[in-house]
Amino acid sequence: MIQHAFGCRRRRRWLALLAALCVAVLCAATRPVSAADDTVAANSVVDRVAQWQARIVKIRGAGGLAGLEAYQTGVVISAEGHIVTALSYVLEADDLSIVADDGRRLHGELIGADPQLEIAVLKVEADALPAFELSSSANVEPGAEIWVLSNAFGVATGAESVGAQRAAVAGITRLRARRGAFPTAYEGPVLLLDTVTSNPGAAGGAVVDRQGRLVGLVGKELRSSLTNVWLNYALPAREVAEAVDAIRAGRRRAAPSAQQSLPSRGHATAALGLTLVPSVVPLTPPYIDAVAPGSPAAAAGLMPDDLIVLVESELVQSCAALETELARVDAGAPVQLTVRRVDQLLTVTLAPPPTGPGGAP
Amino acid sequence: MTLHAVNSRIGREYVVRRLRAVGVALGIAAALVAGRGWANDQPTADDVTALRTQAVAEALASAAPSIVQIETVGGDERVEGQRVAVGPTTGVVVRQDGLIVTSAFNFVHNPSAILVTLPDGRRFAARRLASDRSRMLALLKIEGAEGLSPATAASLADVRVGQTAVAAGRPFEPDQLVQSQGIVSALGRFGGKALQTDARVSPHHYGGALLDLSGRTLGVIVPLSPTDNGAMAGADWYDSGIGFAIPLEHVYAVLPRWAEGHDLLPGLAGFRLNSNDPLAGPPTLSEVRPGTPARRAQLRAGDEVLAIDGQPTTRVGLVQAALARRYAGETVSLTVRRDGAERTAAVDLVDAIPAYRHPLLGVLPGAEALPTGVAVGGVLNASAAQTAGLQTGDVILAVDGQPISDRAALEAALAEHVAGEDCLLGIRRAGQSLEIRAVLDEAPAEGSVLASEAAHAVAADEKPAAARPPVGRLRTGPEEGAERYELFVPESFSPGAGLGLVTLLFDKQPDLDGAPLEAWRQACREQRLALLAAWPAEEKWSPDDLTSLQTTWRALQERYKIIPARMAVCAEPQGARLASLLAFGPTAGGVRGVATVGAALSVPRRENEPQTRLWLHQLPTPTAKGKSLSDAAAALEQRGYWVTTTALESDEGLLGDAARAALVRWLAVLDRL
Repeated sequence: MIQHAFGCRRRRRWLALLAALCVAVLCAATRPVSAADDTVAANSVVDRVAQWQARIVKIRGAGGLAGLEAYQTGVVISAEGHIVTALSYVLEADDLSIVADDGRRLHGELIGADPQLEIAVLKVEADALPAFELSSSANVEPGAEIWVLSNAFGVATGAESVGAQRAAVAGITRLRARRGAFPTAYEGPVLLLDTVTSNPGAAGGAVVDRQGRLVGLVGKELRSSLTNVWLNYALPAREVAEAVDAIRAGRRRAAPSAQQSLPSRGHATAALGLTLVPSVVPLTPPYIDAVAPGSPAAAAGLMPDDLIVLVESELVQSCAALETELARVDAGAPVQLTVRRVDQLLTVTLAPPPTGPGGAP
Repeated sequence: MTLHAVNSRIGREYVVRRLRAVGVALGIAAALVAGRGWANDQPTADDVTALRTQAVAEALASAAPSIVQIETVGGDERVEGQRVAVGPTTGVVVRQDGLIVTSAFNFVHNPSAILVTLPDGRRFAARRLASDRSRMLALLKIEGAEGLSPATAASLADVRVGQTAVAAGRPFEPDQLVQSQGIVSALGRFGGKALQTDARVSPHHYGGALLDLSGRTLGVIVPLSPTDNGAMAGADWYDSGIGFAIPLEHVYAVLPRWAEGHDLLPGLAGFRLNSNDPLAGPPTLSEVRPGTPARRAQLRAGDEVLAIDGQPTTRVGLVQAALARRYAGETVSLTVRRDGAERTAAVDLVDAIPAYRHPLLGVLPGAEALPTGVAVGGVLNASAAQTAGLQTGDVILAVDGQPISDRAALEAALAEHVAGEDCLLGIRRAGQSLEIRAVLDEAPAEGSVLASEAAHAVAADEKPAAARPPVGRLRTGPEEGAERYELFVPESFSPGAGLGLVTLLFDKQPDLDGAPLEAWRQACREQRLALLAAWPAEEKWSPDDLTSLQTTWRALQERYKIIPARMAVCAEPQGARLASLLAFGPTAGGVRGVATVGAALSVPRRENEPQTRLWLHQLPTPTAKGKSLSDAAAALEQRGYWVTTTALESDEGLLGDAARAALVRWLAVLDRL
């Protein structure tokens, strides 16, 4: 392996040499590289960041006690004063103060909210406010450079512009997060960012790509339910746009269908002839303790000490998770289990248990 | 996009990639043809960003096959009081036969099963083959996976601070790489163990790869902390812009050994340096304990460390760093200067340096002080001395060729050894000189050791000296007017013969004229011991009593020529803490033996040292919590102290017959060597 790596390096060295040669030829042919190249940073983005900042507002409302900040960020999405922001306790104020980039203090009215995405639309009385176009087609790919504009920690006040961060889209994935002990309602796609946005006041900020398109809205502070750390994420423009359209049209968006409708009768370990080890801790591994003779489990060749790791293609990390996953599969259909037996994974299919007057096998 | 822009803005590494991508010949041809036209064609920042984005995407694509997802089943929900992440994590393939390296952080919850999912979706059960406790890595093995792509390691020699670094992991779907862009922030962190990056890394990336722009793996991302060695150390720095990766090049270097399934542990040499300040210099060995690799390599206190493995070590920090990255089982070469001469020692590093425990020769020094040498006053049963044929009356004149002038010199000479080592004793026996080789023993952990003869008995013909301090029952104390203690000095006391001193810490004032205390006095007469009886002035012992006792001792030591090796304290339960302070406290010193009846000794943080000898004795009673006493004994043992236990059958204090008998047996051999 080391030799392989070394070989590679050698080859690259050779390539580098060629490259250097090539560059030397180029330099001879063109004017020398000089400090003037820094004007390469006659940078279209840098010129435009101020315009983007001008479309962000500072929101001040309820809170200010017990570590609950009374501020957040909002994005102007129409010249006549529509603002999209995060739905939070901050908006539960009689006098919602919206401070525009130029320092104008405006009164915000809550038009409507989407409890699923936890975003809200506000309206201020103003005309010709600089605004982003919220378009559901503003997609962005992982790895793309993006700019985050938010009033994290509420540092910008009055006519000060909100802060800008440059980052990349780390990935796009389904949101698996929780607030306290509770999972979030929204489980759709989010943009993960490789910068820190999980700061007080940042929620409701804009994520803008280099073309100046609003590609996302900074979400509220959440912890990942997978890694237990604070997530740096944004709601994608498509999701935000759809929700905002519905709010502005006064339409109630259909609640997303339950992730997976449960069958009326799902599988269960007992009916399959499986006895697991006693579940004593939250993450008790689902080891098979006993297999009932003549049961579907026995017919599939499962044995005591097998550790069940997958139901269909879902990982089961505990006895409790196993029952939950089994219940999602219709008891009238076969169910596929993957077990670990002596460092090998074995996938077996269990026939549906017979149902009779007695019910259980 | 132009090659000019590529060259001036992104640099060689990208040029290399681009050239490889489009074909070298094509690249050169294009450059030559197009060259002239670029003179005034300024590339825009958008071009540069596009190039960078594309370069990162290509780097990720090239490394992607070697980056795999790891999942776990079962395990603890909390570790060190914190809820742990049990979501998917990442690993890096390092060998085609199924070896995968990842961060040990991913298994802090000790899962029952580990699954590895390849980017193409194939899943395998993984076995934890070995860990690297020095770098917080784990090595996994999967069986039967065809077509694995081991990661290509970036050569550290080419890595520069400031170059682009991309963290990559598979924390969500196995086919999706999550990235985080940054730069290499520093090299050689933690003594050369790790690279530092400013890419935001979190448990999403731990175990994943830190890539360069060519898609080579700089390192495996791990949480590390400069101050903490715990399993979760460094994880609280997630997303801070301070992230670490263990160079894959180092992993490959150690992989042949690691893959055999041996855990890799930090290597220890077993010496101390003159300073803990990394900037202090020149580094000098301040202590080289017996039984350590440094000692076996013939290093000595006072040696100045000039170089390690040929690298000059002008400051303490350089020595610390050179050792920090080495594993147990490896050998380092230390070049030292001693007495103006340079020498090089090969030190075989080990994974643990146990606390120093004094070995036992098994002799009691005689009471008489000789002009030179130490007389053997008694030989312990079944001891090294007895096996070697030492006899009462022998005079030890030399140990390992070094002359022995007195008892202290003999103690120091024996403290140069650990049990199992042999020492060469120069003996005078009946006017003849002889050499005896003795293999030193462990001090027995259970029960007292009986002497073959009573070493401290008063010789029948001894006559009391004419001029001597007062003897018999006396009142004494830290100062005049504060005579709070009762002292008893055997009537036969003679300044020439020396005397031991046992201090009894009673919970409350005993009957000073009663038979039990008289029995102690009788035992002290036989054992040539002075007896100091003390009890709290008020309800309980106070910190003042510590000073007061020590002051009293100093006066008595001077007046009665107390032998330091025969100084002991025996405490009833309330005095156990005071006794522990007298043994281990910041002002401790001068006491050889500490015993407690019906209470556990406090366990000190500091370990036993070669230069201080302590013999601790606990006497559990039926009501005393046996477990706390045995726990204390185990902890004290582990810190290298001699600890013995005598269980009492009834609840008694120092005045009980059984307690007294056990303590007197112990006191009789307290100064054993």
